[in-house]
Amino acid sequence: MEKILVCVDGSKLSHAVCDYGISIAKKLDLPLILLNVVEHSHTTKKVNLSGNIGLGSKEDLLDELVNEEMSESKQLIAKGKTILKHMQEYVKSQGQENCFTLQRHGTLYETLDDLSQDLKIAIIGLKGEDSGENQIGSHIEELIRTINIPILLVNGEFKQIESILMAYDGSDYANKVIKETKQSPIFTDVKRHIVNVNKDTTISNKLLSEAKALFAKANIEVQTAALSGDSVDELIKYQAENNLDVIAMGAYSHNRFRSVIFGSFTTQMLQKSKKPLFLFR
Amino acid sequence: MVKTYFKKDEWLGNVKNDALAGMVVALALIPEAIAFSIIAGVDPKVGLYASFCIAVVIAFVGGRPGMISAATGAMALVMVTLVKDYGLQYLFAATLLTGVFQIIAGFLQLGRFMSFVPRAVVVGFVNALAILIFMAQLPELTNVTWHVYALTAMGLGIIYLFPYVPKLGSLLPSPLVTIVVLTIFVYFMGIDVRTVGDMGELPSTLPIFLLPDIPMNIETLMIILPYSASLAVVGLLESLMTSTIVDDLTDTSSDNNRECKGQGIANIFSGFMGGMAGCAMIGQSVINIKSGGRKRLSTLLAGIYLLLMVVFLSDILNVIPMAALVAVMIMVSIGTFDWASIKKLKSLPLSTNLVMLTTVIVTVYTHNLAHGVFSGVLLASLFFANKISHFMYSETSYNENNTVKTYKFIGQVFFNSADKFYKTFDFKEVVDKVVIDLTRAHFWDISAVYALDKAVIKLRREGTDVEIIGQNEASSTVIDRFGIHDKPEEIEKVMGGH
Repeated sequence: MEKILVCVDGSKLSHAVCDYGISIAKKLDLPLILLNVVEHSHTTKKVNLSGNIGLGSKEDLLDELVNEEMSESKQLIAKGKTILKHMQEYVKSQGQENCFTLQRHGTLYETLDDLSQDLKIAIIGLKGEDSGENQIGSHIEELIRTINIPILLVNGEFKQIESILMAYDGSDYANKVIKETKQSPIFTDVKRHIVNVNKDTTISNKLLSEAKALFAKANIEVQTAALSGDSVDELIKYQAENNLDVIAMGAYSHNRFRSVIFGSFTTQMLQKSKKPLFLFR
Repeated sequence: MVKTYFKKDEWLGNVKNDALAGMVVALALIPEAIAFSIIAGVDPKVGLYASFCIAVVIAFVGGRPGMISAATGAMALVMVTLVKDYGLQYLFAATLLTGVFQIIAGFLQLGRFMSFVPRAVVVGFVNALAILIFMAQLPELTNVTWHVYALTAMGLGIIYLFPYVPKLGSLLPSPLVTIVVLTIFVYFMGIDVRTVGDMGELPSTLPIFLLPDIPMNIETLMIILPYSASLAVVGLLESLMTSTIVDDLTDTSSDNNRECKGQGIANIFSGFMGGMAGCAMIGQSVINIKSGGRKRLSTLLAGIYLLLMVVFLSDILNVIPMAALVAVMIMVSIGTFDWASIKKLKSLPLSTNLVMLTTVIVTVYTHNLAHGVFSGVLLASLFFANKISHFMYSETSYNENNTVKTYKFIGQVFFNSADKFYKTFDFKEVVDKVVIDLTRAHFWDISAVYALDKAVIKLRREGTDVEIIGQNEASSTVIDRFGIHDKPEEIEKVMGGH
């Protein structure tokens, strides 16, 4: 049975993330899982630079590290449990009775990788607990690249999804996005805007009419727009002008090497977008 | 490629601690690299260049972040006769070939064979290594004046007592303090003892690329081949064992096959840069973890600091008394030794202790850790076979008028229990018919099948009719390819109480 996964870490966004989870779980009529990951830092605060090793150094060091990590883990577990309990109560109070909690050791992406088979969608707060304002949460890129289920990245307060912006460039990825969003009950009764950014408007219009035709088959009406300029900026500007609630797009279609050299479109969108991103791999 | 080789977290997850730990490790690497060069019979610069190359390269290509690799005693001991008989150029060539072997081992995924090395052998290996490092210091302590003993004792005193000095003790590496104090002491008191400068040439430049100056022919290959094979095995064994120690300490896992390839690549670089073969170091890796080092950055910085200090401070290195180095190496030896294993001797079974001691004794005798490990693994396997052979017994029963005897065998029949299987039959007894019920027996190899055939022939010669029940099920375990039997239901078919 497929489930909706909501990752909570006690950050400011935890409530918003939960609200999106509740809304989607209700639309799809699927159970909601609240996940808290106990992430071990595997680093130590006690640093001993004496640089010597003597009788039983290995054993003593192991003992010391085990004790340190044990107390750290216990704290994290307790903290996570409190958050989960709090959030579960909140979710139930919002009328979503079918809600479970789950606590796992490991990194977020390891955990999602393990669980992804049973998941319909994962919802994650974009700003991790510790990260600053303009930074995307640690490991988010790693996560998006690894997981093959749709991910909703939440970066602000909750708002019912009533309109959606879809970036379309005619690639396989983009077509997949269209296919997914066409069928998904998450997006019934939602206004759709399909946008292509290209210097050559004839290409844009050709692509957009293709996309429009795809939706027409399913009797869905869409608005299209051809823009030119920097794709990231134009998309965000268009989203703001039309006050669209969520941006759907394929993520990291290029390999990592290219992204390192040229910078990734997805990463820039993650950094600049003010609205939640729906990512498909 | 890029994805697996440049994980951001593996490099930058712990920058501040890694930077400090790298410094502590580099300071400790210098005396070790010099000491191990002396063991191998080469100039200190060979060990120092090797330590630099290996540490830097393995930071990128190794499979265990936070583990320290450099020139090591275990490897130095293997190459002693090569250097003595054929010279340094052959050592470079052997180092290159070692790297090639190790890369091949990585591609063949030989790392998984580490599961054949039992715990007792690992402990024996570590203890033998510690003993060898200590023994290698003895030439520096024999036929010398009393000054050397006094200086060494003073050095050890500083190493172990300095950390108790409040504040400063946990900030300054005590081996460094020892070296500095002893060097100043000897220099200004004008004591005439051997110094590092007496042991050979120190590096004055950055390492440069060079091809070994040797004839490229079969004869050369035959000279270096046995050494390279030994070096490759010793290097991988110590590296993989060290990586399990680091795994345990840090509660993380490592990629053994990548480590094998990484060691190979690092050794090839070392060979081309005028260095000797090396591998992971238990003592240094523990020091790194203790100092807070966790990620690849700590290894990389250890190598870079090492080179910078060596190149710019070579004049100072020259006057370091050997006694200071000996003290540091004795510390490494003590820290490497697994003292808990001595305490556990009383409580562990004799077979385990024998395996551990055999590993130690063979290693110390042959000066080759590979030989020690092979002996240990062999002995442990024999003990295991012996234990399993106890898991076979038989039940006998007769029909009403004692004319038919049934032997029901239960348990494992293989080379070691085949004889016991055969002897179970009472060939002197006169019965019309013997039923051999094998439905609950497992035949593991051809020795078991042979023992059954032999028993059947003997019984028939004595005029007894023989009926065998369940032979097919019993011998289904003879098959070699267990891969297809990994599924639980398949295992149940083979091992179940059919």
